[in-house]
Amino acid sequence: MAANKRLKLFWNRLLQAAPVIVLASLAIFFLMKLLPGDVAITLAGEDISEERLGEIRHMHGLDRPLLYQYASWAWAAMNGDLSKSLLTGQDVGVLIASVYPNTLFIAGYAVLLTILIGVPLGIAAAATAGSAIDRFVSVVSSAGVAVPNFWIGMLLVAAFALERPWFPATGFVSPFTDIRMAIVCATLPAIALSSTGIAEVARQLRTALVEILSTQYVRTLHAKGLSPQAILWKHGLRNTGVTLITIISLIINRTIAMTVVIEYVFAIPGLGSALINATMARDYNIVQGIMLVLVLTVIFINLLSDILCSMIDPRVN
Amino acid sequence: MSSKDFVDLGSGQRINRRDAIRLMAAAGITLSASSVFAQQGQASSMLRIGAYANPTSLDPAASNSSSDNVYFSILYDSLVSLDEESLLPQPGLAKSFRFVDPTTLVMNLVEGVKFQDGTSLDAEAVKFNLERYRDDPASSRRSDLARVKAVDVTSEYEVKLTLDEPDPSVVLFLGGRTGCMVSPKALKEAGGRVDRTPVGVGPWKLVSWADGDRLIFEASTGYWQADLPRSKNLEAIIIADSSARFRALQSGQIDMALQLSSRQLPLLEKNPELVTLSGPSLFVYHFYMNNSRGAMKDPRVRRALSLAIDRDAFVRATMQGGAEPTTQYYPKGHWAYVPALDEAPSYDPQKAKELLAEAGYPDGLELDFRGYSDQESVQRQEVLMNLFNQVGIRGKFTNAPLAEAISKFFGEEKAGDLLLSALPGQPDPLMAYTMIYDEASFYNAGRVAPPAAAAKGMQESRLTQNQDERAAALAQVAVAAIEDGLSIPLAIRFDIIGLSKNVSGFERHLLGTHRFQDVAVSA
Repeated sequence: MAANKRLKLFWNRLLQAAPVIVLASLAIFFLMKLLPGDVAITLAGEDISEERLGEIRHMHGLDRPLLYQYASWAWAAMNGDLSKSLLTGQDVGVLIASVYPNTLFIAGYAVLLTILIGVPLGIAAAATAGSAIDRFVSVVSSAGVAVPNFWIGMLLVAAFALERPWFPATGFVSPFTDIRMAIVCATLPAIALSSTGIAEVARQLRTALVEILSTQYVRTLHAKGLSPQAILWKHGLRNTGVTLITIISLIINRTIAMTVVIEYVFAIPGLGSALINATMARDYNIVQGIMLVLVLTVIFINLLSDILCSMIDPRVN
Repeated sequence: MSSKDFVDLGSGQRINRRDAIRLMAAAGITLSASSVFAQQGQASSMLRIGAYANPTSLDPAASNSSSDNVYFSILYDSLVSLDEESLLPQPGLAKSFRFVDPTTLVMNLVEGVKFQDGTSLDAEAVKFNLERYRDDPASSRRSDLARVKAVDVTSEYEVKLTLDEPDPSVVLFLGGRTGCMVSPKALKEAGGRVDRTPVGVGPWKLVSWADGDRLIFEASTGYWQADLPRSKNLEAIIIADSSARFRALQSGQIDMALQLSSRQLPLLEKNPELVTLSGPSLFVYHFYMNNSRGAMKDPRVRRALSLAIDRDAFVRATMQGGAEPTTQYYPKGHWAYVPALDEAPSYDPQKAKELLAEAGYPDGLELDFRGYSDQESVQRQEVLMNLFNQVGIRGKFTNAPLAEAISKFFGEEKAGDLLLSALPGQPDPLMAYTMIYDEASFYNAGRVAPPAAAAKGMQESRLTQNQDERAAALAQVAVAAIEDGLSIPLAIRFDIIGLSKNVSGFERHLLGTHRFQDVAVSA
């Protein structure tokens, strides 16, 4: 019965996703076209004349009506073809497949650090509410939210790559090539990326736990003689499960977006740096392809989050 | 002492055991020390370069960015080689070249050179390449060979180019991308483009390319220049941000960092583990002008704009020692450098005010300035606007990202009176002046014909192959351009390269097409 309800939830969410994907791709397409700047000028390079610009626009279909351009791209995308880069001619799907795993690895590492550090901090703060530990966690949370993570990244490089060569200052190794070196190279970027997430998880978890621990039924549990540790772990945390999953899913989405700046600072060949370069150069096909993949990623993460929440708390169905 | 206390050396000679042990220890120390020094003297087989951009294409015909030049000098050799300092043409794959008359260029090729796929570089291969550069609709080099009417094979290793009118620039084009020879066999097999599968006659061949990350090369077998390249393997690591590139050099992840910013110059010079190579390039910060708009039509207004700028102060304030002030497009050392322009005063605010008053603007005037939106450009704009204000020229900069700003200033909209921009290097001044001043050029926003003296200089430089005569003719163009205010050169940017102190054999190239075959890294 519960499984049927979850399946129904899954299909509902999937159906809701379809118009979101269409609207998002339309918005991205037309926003890119609205941006001033002519990609034909970039493509012409030094050999530039009005005639050459016209040739280039015709060669790449840029002189066709906008709706025709969108429809061609959308139809091809539905058939798995994200077209080719206007500047390099490279297949956009192949490009994304080569760089997205790098972004996911760094983001995943950062989220893991977020959970491993943020959750214990939040629990410690809630369990000792009002104490020096609680205040310390509060200060750390505020700093984590306020300090830009790219600045933290640069400090980490100065301290642990240049002063003490414990980690590389730049670069990335694929985990499929050498997992140990991949972890070493990704450590400083992941720490920088996780700073905001750690702060948020600690703060939100602390607030949720304190709220639950101050409810009447918890007072009843105390009165019945249950130990504070048992109350915290068996009852308190379980009731914050939905909150925690929701926060983490939001942090995952935001972490993937924040990799844009971190990839630039650490010279990591990821989705973010590919997106920046393509946007500056008006390489529409790459921008559209990457944004479509990011929209699908967010939808997938939200869907997963909803399913997990429904497993933890049947009331969510 | 007993007999076992001695070591028999043969022929009746012997030494005692203790001396033998001491001798062996000394020999061991000497050998190990020499092997350490030998290792220090030995070149590492890997050279790691910090490059600043992912290639747009490894096909010289398809590439549309000058940032690809670093990869072309690794993969391809060209017909003509350009001297590192003067950019005068030297033999390359063409061991000799001469104009037998003003419209006929004959080139004799080095014999026995093979492409990386084993096919021969002969006159037929050269003809194939040049016709492709000229005729392929996707080629970005068509205008370089626009005047080449015919390419003929006169013998196995001799090629004749017939021009429809005199154009000595053709030789210099053949020293750049247009002279890079690509294997015709590879082109045919790849369907006409080798964006990702380059095959040339250069010192290295491509092993792998991970977009946005790195390109790995290995030495070409049978390279036509003996004993080269000195580094058997080369890795170009792409680090777009110059600060990140500098950090990679500091931490030893790369051996060379190309195109560093002037902000890193003080840090480079303080670091004892690094060597700095810094000097003028052909990258010139300047103003493009739209001479068809309002007050800009008056040469006195344009001249006043130039005289209002204290270029020394501008460079000091905005470039931290990474540029030199200039009123021309070529630095000292280049064959087209004009000493007279540097001797004439370039900053005279009083004269600027007088010219404005003569032109009918005694109280100054307001102009529409355009520029780019990056932080360094904005800093330059602030300094320049301050200088203009001092002579009564008012206005503000309307900024945009590069592609958008160029499109608006030069495209259909023709927005703005001046655009603060930069001119990347052109090996021949005639190419640069044609690009900026020719009436039909895209970069002449107002489509205004240059003054007679400039037009005459450009035409005369086309009609002679004599280098001194060309220099004199092009000097007329440079002087007329300043006097008439056709554009306003401001500063020549330095090409700043950081090297690990273990790197040897590298020489900077004025055009930025650095060569790495003589470079080695000691272990």
